[in-house]
Amino acid sequence: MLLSDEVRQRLLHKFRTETSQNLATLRLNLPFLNEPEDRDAIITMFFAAHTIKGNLGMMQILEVDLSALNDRATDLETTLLGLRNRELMPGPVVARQLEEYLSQLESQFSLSLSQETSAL
Amino acid sequence: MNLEETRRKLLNKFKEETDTQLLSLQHRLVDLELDASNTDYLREVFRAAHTIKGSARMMNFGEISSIAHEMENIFAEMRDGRLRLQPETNDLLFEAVDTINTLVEAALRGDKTDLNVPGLNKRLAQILDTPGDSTATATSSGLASKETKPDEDANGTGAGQEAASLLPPIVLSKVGALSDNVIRVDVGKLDELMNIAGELVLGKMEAEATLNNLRALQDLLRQRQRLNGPVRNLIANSGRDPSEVTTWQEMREALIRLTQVDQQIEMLVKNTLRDHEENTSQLVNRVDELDNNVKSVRMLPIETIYQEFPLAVRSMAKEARRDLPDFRQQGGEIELDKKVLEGIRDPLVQIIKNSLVHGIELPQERLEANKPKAGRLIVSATQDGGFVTISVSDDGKGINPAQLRQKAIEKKIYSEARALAMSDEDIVNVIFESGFSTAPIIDDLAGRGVGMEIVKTNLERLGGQVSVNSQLGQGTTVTLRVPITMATSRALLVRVSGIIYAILAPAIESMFYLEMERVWSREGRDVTSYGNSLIPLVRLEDLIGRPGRADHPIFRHQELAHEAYNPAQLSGITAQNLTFENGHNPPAKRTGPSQGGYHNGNGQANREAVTGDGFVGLTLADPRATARIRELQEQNRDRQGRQTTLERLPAVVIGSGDRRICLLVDELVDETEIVVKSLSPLLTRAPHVNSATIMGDGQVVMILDVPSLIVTARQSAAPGLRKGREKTAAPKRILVVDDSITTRELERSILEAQGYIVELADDGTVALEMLSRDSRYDLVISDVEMPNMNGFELTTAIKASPALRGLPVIIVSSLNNDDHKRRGIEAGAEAYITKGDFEQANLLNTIEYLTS
Repeated sequence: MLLSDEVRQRLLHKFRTETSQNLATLRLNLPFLNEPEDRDAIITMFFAAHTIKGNLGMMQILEVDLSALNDRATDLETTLLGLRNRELMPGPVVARQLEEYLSQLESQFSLSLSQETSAL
Repeated sequence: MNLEETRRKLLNKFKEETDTQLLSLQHRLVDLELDASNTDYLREVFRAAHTIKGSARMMNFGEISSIAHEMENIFAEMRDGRLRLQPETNDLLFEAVDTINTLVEAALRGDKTDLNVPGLNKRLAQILDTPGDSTATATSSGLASKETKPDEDANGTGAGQEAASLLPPIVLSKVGALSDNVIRVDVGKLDELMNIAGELVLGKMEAEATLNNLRALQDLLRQRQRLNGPVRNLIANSGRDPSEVTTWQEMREALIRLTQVDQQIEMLVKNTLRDHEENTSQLVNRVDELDNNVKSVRMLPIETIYQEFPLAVRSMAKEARRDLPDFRQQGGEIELDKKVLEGIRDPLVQIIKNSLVHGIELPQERLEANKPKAGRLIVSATQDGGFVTISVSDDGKGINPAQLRQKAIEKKIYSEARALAMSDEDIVNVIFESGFSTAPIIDDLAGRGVGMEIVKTNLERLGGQVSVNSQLGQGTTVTLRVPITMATSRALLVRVSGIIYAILAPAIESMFYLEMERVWSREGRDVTSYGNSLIPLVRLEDLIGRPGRADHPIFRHQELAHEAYNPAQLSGITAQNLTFENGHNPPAKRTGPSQGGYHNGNGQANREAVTGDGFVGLTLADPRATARIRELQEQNRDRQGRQTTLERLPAVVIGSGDRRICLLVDELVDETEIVVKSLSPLLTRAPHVNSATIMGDGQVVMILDVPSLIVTARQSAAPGLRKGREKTAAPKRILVVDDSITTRELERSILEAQGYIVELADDGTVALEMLSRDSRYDLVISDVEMPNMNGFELTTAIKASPALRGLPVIIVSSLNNDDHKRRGIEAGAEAYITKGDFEQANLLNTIEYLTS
């Protein structure tokens, strides 16, 4: 059973908006990872990355191929999960790594939005 | 924003509000000198003092609060007829007003004063100590006789109370310095307004050009008239004039000149008309733009009032000896007209206070009831079309209907018979009655029975509604519903049984011609497909004109549509236009398409006329809507003119989310801008109508109350328009819990397309609250990682609850390792679906399996 075009467009719009917001949340909180452990920032970032990754999976139902974004989103989520569970310690090294993942994810997301053939 | 900045903001707001109340006190105290028994004035001064007291307490201004408290006591006695105000007593009350004003000013500057507030309070309190009972009079001379000891003198100056009482009324020049009428406007918005104003100047010039053209046209017509004279004379005299050749030559020349003038007139009319059409179109756009911009200037986010609540809650909780509750505010970004926002502020403070004082139990009581020591209080706002719904929910002890019933009888608010006949749901509304309180004792925080009355009064003034939902032992939710703005609105005009009604545009989702093929019957109700879901289908005529349901004359006329009913008989209403367009008779009192026989007369031709599946696909926000309405009108007229069977009906979808309904009307008349007017008292109880508007031709059109229509439509079980294709199984209710809006909406779309009823929650806490309020869910679908309460915790809580234990839970999460799945199973979930492998068939099959 396929969803109608109208519903599909509405859901894609929500996905674009929510993902943009979550990427912004990640970007805004990233500087706090250089500080002594900021739990609020870590938890906020984890939820943002987790939501991005979850939604990427759900987009399959709309037959939108976003697999290119999935790897970086998973990397981000896994790293932040480690921080949240205190398996990783926050600091410049982790912050730089996250910055790299985030930049790649942002670029891939922008590319998906800009490509004429993109379902987004 | 730091605490100091927050406090500064609150202080300014407090000043604005207190100014307003002090101004009201000043005016009414003067009025009361002339009419001491006027109950409206007495109620107003009482409320003003009450409001000042509450606000001052919130800001921790004890002196102001204490003076207002004493004033409130005096006004309460007067209001209840136990104390009669003497003119000279006003002096003391004016002194109190002035003292409050001085204290407020000092507080704003951060200064302290040397005013003798305890002395003033003592003198105010002594008014009530005046000997006597119900006939006591409040006079300052009575006070003077008691005020004899020098050490009780107010200022310690030796001046007695009598001297104070002889002071002339104090004029408070600074009170109400219009600060309440001030709004901060973003410079960008002002620039936009300036731009539009500049464009309107162009419009003025264009209008002047049109005027000049019309004057030129007038000159040409005069010329034509002058030329006409000789020609007529020549024709009249022909045959009698001997020099016919000359005569015909003159006539020929006159006709040539006449033709030239005619050409000039035609050209001028053509050009003027073209320019005017263009200019009018531009002017309409500019005026619309101006209207929108001016409205937006008045819009403020709810956050504006939210920011003061945390401090207020802290202060009130402390005073009520409650632990600081888990206080949350949601939807602060939603914008409301400043006037509406101001109007709901006090009601919200009152409701929050009620939750803290009456709702949330004392810490020990909560522990004994197996609740967390601190209560939970949630203020949440959501937008629903042109309305905003704000609810205040607590997890306190709830409202005891039996206790309310008893109190209502004791206080003679309802007769015993009436109170006993009222349902538990209805009796709860007694809390909005004046003087009703369940508090065992009157104290600083509660018990005067005025708070909820103010809430209701303020909401009614805003054209809003308030409702209460409570479950004993579990908590109470008070819900306010207010319009976003109170000025103008776009509206769709529809005709039903010959009468035109307006539906405000914000409540409309779409309009179209409904084909009978799209009508089904489910559980005895008509439904139609909308998007991917089924929504209730009702005839508007049935909702507003059903005998027994509509007991007001405004609706009875629909039963008398063929008789000479004259709506002008209704006081305060201009004659309603009861003529019918196109000359055809008003439609007979239809009993519904099923009885009328919706045959496939010329269905094919009409199906081609409407695009796609019959949906217009336009909303009123779309500028093409008006044109489309007209097109639909023409099609409708065409069909009716040819006396063909109506196999497709004009339909309007109102509401949003799972509250959508589809209304069948007789005709889509127009889409237009209207000015919303309050109903006259005569009509305020009319069902399904909440306001009115006056059209350009003077016709009064009732504006339908969409929330009320939706409630009635969803409750009604109208006989089916279409039999057959009925699914006998009751639709299943599913609660989807996910903090991602994308996922929530996606899952909802999939499930609603399959006929499930879907409700949404954005975290486990909210979900658990919904489940505790209503256990009629058939299944829960939950994410794992969510703020506040995750999916595992939610599942554990569900399975630990005797009432919810049997409810199947499906976890849909992007966490796909075995550890997480194990935790899901341990928590008691029936299924675990990974988002990365998400397939809707898998989800639907799982749901079908678990709910069958």
